[in-house]
Amino acid sequence: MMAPRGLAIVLLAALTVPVSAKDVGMELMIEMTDALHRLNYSGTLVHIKGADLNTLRISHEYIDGVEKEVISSLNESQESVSRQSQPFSLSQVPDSIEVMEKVYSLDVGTIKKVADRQCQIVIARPKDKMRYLQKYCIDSLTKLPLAYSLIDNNHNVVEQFTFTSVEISEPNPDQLEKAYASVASAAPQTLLGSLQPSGDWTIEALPQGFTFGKVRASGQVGRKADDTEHFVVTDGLSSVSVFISPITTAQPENMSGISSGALNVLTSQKNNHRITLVGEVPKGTMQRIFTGLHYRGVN
Amino acid sequence: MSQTTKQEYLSALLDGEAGSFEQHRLCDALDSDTEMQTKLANYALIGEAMRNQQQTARVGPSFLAGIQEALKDEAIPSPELVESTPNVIPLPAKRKPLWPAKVAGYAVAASVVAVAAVSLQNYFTAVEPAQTIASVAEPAVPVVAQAEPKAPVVQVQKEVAQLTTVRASFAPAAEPVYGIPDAAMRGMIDDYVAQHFQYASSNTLMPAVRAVSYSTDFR
Repeated sequence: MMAPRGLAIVLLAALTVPVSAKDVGMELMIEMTDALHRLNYSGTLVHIKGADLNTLRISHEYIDGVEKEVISSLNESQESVSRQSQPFSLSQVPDSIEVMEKVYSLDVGTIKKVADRQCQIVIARPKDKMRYLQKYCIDSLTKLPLAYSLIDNNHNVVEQFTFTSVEISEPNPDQLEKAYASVASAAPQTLLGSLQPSGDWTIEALPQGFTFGKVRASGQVGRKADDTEHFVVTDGLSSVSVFISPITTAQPENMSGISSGALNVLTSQKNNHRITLVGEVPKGTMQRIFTGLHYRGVN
Repeated sequence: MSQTTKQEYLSALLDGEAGSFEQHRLCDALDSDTEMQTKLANYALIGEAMRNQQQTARVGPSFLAGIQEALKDEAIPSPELVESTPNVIPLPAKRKPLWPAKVAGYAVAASVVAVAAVSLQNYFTAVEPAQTIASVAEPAVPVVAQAEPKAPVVQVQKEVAQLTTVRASFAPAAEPVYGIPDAAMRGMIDDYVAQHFQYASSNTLMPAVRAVSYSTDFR
């Protein structure tokens, strides 16, 4: 006969709703995205791409209710990027997550220590070879990503960054309230919806899991002054920008490309147009997108 | 033993450079470590293939003949009948297997040959991708002719040749060659990359980190 203690364990196990690693991973990813935009943090991080190592100083804070991020290279004293972002809203997240689930499986790994802080490993494992494996170490306390790496199909780390020191704090509640108030008023205009190529161009059979990305109203995506068309395809975690511009002078029809860590750039020609693809996906995926582009206009 | 050390020791063992202490240690480790056993088998196969790269035909007959010879000596189990006594209830005699043991043996031999052929093929793929299929598949026919092997072996050779053909049809297309963009093109690319980072902020983690890092590249 089963002892009362054993029976209690069985009942408890039966009543407990199973929480899958996928659900936990998804929750952590959403919290991480929020933390990246919501928290104040500053620190030093190392960015490694192949044999290149770059040490960067990063600071992120809210000033007058505006999200401000400054990143400077400690290797090259003059290099820095400062940008002000529109306040971030979690309403932007679900679309990406939904898309992402189709092509990545999420695993939750062990607890590690990065920059003297405990963090949880979360792995977004691609279900095909069209994208990189993404591995995060998410701060157990604040959910800020402390380390991040992108791994290719051959198990090579193509790019990684890791904090060597970091200070994290909650923003001043007044600042955050101000920021959220502006989100509430700006929300209807923040995203314009999926932007597809204009009538002259079409893409047949995007790689599995990729869809046309939503476009920020503040961004300059779409048709530009120099008649360059720009649209974005995304799988929820990685995105590829496609730029199409008419060629006015004769140019050699060769395909050229550069790589910087996980970032690949390919440029070639089709129907008297220069096509340039920029994105954090393998070259083969970009080649597939390029091949699928078809011109429907008149030359 | 770390992975690197294991590989180094195995390599030393095959090259005859391992000392007696390492040999004993490796033999002990090989008893229980299946990964090491596989690695040793692979290294031995690669070594054998390298030594006979120009004489592939020699590998086949001796290898196949050896297997056939071993199978010839293999005893075929016969059913044992127990005499019936009042205290002993006889079990029904073992049914004669549908496939004789030799056939099973040939199946094993076939698997070994197929694996060996595919492994060799993989090895040569890594060395000379353009000549792979021809260099492995072609010598298979003379081998059969010289050794006058029995029917199952001929069948195996045919299957290996078929495998090779299937593999050839699935061979990946050559990757396109990308040139290096000139200075004018680089200016345009830099502009596009900046725009990509600006947009990608909702998808890609810390795009500004990549932006700064990218700006320090190609100098």
